Amino acid sequence: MADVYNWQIGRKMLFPYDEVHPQWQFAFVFNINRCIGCMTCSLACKSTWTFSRGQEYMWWNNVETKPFGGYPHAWDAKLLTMLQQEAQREKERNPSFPGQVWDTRKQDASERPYGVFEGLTIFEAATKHVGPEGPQTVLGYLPSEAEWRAPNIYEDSACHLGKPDSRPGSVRLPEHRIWFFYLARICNHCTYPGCLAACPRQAIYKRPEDGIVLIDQSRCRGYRKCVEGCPYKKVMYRVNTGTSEKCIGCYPRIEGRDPLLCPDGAPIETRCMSACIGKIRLQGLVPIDQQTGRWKHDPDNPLYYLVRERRVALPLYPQFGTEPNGYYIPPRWAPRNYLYQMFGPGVDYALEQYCCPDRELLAVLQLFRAQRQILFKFRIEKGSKVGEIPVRMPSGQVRTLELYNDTVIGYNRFNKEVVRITIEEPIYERDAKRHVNSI
Amino acid sequence: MPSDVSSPQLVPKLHPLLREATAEDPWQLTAVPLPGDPLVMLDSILSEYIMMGVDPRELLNLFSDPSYPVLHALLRHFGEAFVAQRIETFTGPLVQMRYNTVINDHDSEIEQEDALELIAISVKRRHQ
Repeated sequence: MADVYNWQIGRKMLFPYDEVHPQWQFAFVFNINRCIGCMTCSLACKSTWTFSRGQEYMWWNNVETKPFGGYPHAWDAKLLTMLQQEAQREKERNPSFPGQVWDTRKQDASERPYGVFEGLTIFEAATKHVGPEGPQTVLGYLPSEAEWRAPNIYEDSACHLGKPDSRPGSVRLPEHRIWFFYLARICNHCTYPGCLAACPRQAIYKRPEDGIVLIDQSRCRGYRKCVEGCPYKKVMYRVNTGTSEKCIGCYPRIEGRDPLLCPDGAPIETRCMSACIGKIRLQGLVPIDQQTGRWKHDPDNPLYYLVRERRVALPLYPQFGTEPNGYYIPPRWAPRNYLYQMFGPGVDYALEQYCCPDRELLAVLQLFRAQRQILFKFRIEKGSKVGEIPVRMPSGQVRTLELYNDTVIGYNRFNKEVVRITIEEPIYERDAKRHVNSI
Repeated sequence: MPSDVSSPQLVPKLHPLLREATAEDPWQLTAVPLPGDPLVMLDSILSEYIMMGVDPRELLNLFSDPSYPVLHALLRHFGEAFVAQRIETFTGPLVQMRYNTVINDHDSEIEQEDALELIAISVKRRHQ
């Protein structure tokens, strides 16, 4: 085991391989506040990559309802329980072990933005785990077939189609009487992938050019250690080929090699990102410092701006220790304790920023799904103030959001302007009913 | 999501719409019994979509559509009149808000027609 630095948990941790970093890293931000669970992303991915025989239950992109569901069923609750059990055993062995907790007093905006995670990652817990399945490189479990079989079951039963009981055979389903939100998920193309660490064949690798994690199908023997080891359960076994498969980050699009979509070679967002009608997704590539392995300081990159500069987007279950490269703007309405568990201690700061964004953050938020080309840079042209909106913060406090007629401009890899979004001044319309000479 | 997912009866062979909803059916939340405020949920979603420039009538239509369960559940919970009134409270201060998005794609022959695309999305307030 090597010692590698994981900035999301603010410390070094154990990992089976030495630190090696790509030149660029595939990363994305999903704004949960906007997702309405239309499933367009899931179908876009399914119809592109996993429509063949043997891939029936494969959803490289899925949208699950939290806290009710998961694909495979209860994937996160199960692993969190396993980690908690290991932590409990560790505490019995070593009373000074603090448990699965964060020390937020050690927060440092550049080095340790969320503080330090004092507990066990899935790699560290595996070294202490003793179980009937034998030694593991990564603490994990193999979901049963039943858990894979029915994505989204028991999740949304808020309604049925048509009027109540108007169709023969229809039933009125009980409703969830509580908060919930949609969590869209794809492979996080982690910096320290659990699947890669678990593979006994070394068939899984991170591409040096963009950090996308791929499975070499010619080396894979279908041991399913990667399925067991991926904490997000984003590697899936295909029965008719006897190998495992996973999200490939639509790499022909990322490489800019699609002759129809990108004749000039500019990288294009993945299928799931491009298809998003709720504009919840922003995908990009961030430059990586080869010496430190950290994200290079690049505040003009929209991804860097949202994740590192403003810390409004947070990693999913950072305590697992894989340094996932998928980030989420947490939902405003969900209870904080649930969000702390899911996104770590950065939730309060992120929501404080997001709920009443300043003009710069508001401009960058408009870039979500504005262009199918990946945006590498943005610039803001400032305009005049056009209005104020009262905003209710999660605390119940009401603040004023100032709206400016700013223009945000996005640039592609070749520094060419590819999108320009302006908030226009208000236009007042006369009411046709009050003015007889209205057109 | 029920806590014991290994139990075989939790994976029904029938489509949920064809099953009878019984008192023992694990539809209700058992995993995370944390309280939440549906009004905050409604307000958050409304403000997101109003800020994106979605027309209030289109937004109300989304709530009426059972295909969008989270929105539809809120509509059923609060009633259509209340949701419509909440939409008004968000569109009210601005009267009208619209974004201009100019997409400047590469100049291939196929994309030539879309090379400079102007999309204007407007929110128009209906005066009562």
